[in-house]
Amino acid sequence: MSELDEELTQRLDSSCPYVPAPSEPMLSTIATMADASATDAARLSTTRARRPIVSGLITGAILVGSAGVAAADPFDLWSRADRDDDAVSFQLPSGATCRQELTVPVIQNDPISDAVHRWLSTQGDQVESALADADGSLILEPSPAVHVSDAVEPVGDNPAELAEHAMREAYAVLESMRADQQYLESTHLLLASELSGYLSAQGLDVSVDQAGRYLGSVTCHGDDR
Amino acid sequence: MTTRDAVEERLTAALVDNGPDLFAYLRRRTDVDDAADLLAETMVTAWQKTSSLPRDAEQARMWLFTIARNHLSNHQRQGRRRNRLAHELRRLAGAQSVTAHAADDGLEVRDAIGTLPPDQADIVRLVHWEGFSLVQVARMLDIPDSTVRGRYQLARSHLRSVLTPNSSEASTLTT
Repeated sequence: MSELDEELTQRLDSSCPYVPAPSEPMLSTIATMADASATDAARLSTTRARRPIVSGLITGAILVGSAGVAAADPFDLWSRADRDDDAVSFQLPSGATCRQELTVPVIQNDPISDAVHRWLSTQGDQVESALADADGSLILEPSPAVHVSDAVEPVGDNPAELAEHAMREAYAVLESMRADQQYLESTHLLLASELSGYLSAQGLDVSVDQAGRYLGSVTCHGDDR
Repeated sequence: MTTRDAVEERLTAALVDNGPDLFAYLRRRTDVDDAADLLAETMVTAWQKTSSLPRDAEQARMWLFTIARNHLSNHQRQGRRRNRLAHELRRLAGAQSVTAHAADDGLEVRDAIGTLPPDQADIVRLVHWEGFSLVQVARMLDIPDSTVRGRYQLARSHLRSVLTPNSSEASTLTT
């Protein structure tokens, strides 16, 4: 290594932004976080499974969302993928499950199409990992909507209470739909971003917006639990 | 002790051991407020994926940094603050960070790194700031070693030309 290389290495090493060493209280807090996060992780998985939804209505809302996503494909050149490698599944805050199909373009000898086709089959684990990570951050704070949904209690025969209950339930469903919609949109953006990054690594300059067009349809099914 | 207990014990140890470095890594990439939340999210995700926890301590460290890096990538889209303990860590770190480092002479170099394409800058930072080898970075980014080496060399070449304008002349003299 030349002197210049050594000097450059030293300058790069020493360019690391200064971060003060953690104090004892900080170390203690971090150690507590390490334990507490186990409880948070367990709570998140069970909370998600318990969330009630009204299947028919929520599925309707999700289809609106997926229609919006599908509308991002202006070329109408896609044919449905028939391989598991070309799909990735995820779950919405309501518990509904969705399947993002990566559809195969009919364009022949197109480097982007070829790369898109290779994406999930070679990077599937990484994509699912990114989705799982995003999943944690997206649901870490249950939206107020979900709290409303969870808070709906059984009522007696009083017509006024029944009416109020019905209204609260309706609002809960609407709010839950909104949470799912936001989640779906975020997931679409994340997948598009992952695809864009992959294509970029292959030397193909495709923006996130453009990458989103290569994602096919999303189908979701409500959770009947 | 059951296998599950052993895994949980290993993860707790890995989080406690690497927590300060993860927090420092996140603080170097974002502000202290978000770094605390990102650390909390990283830990939650780690607990959700205990089955993937590598046995080897160094591999576990890389695994945790990969999770943290993914959260950092997602952060710009979905940044939120909500964790109580993160709030406490934020408060402690905020009180601590009022004293700036006096000899911050790396600014020029950091600016130069900032001009690199994001994938190259990421590799340079992971190598020179976090102390990972190129092979480890390749594992973390899930791309071939040769790709990482190529990008790193491109980055160094660019940095050399930016930081030492007469480098080609001097290089000739030293080689």
